Amino acid sequence: MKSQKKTSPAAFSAAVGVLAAIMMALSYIESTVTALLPLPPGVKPGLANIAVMFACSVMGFGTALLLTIIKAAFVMLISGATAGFISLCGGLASVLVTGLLIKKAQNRLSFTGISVLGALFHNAGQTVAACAVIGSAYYIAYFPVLAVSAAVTGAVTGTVLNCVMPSLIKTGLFSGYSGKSSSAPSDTDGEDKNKTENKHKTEE
Amino acid sequence: MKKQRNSFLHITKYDIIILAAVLFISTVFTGIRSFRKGRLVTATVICNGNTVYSAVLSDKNEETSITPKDGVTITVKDGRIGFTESSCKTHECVKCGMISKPHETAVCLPNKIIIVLSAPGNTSDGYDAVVY
Repeated sequence: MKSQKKTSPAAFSAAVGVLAAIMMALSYIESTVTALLPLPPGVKPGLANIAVMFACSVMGFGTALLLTIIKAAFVMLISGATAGFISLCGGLASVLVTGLLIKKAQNRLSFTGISVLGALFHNAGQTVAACAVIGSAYYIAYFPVLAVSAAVTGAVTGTVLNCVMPSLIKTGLFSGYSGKSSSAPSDTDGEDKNKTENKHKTEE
Repeated sequence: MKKQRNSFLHITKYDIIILAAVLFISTVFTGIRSFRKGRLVTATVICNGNTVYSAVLSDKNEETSITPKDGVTITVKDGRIGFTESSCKTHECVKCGMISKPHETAVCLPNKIIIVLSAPGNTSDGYDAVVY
């Protein structure tokens, strides 16, 4: 049985603010880590997407979309308009796929699988945007390298979210939102609904 | 009452299938891209959608520098080409290093410049070098 959304605008703003701050902190850590690790050009760990995925599953697609736009604006302020545009394109592609998978495939996939596909489409969106910026389709030849990195980094970030999700829910900051609050697909959702219906029939 | 599935780090079999499929397909294409070799590799430099330089790399033993834009220097040396100087903030293009294999690319997105190496036989204009 889904819980009703019972959050005030102030609480919503606070939750979005916390997630945006987490996202920006993860982006900063990511930029530092990227400089230290011997990664191929254009490959990043994608840590900030943990916050976006969390928002998409707990607070809804609209909040995740808002966070994606905030992230792109942050990248634009730090790295310039071109980087912001590319981040926006990748982020939009990723959040669309993530939202669709969370809505349709949450009984089969954990955040690991969702994150892998989200990362893949993120890199695909960024590749298309880069081709548009350069004015040439040759950059697509680099996509296989980005796809390998998407699989690895997506698996890592998704697994991290799998592990921290219960702790994040326990903070109580997001208690007023319905959505996928557990990381593992559950077989008990249908059972709970049947129990409620049987109870109502007995009472009648 | 059915028990909630407890798997290692909450990963399901469908996650593993997706991860394996994406890794396999992308690794295959990356391998194909990496192991392409050819004696006559043509380097093309495209700036803002316009080709500004094109040459057969194997013919270039002397060091040549190209400046498609202010603050950006591309060097051709010993059959390899790459960004050696850039005005962008992150210098990702310089980190690409010198490339020499067909279908390798080096990109400077802020300056909208891409270096493309094409497979043998894709360009047949017959010129050793063309500067636009």
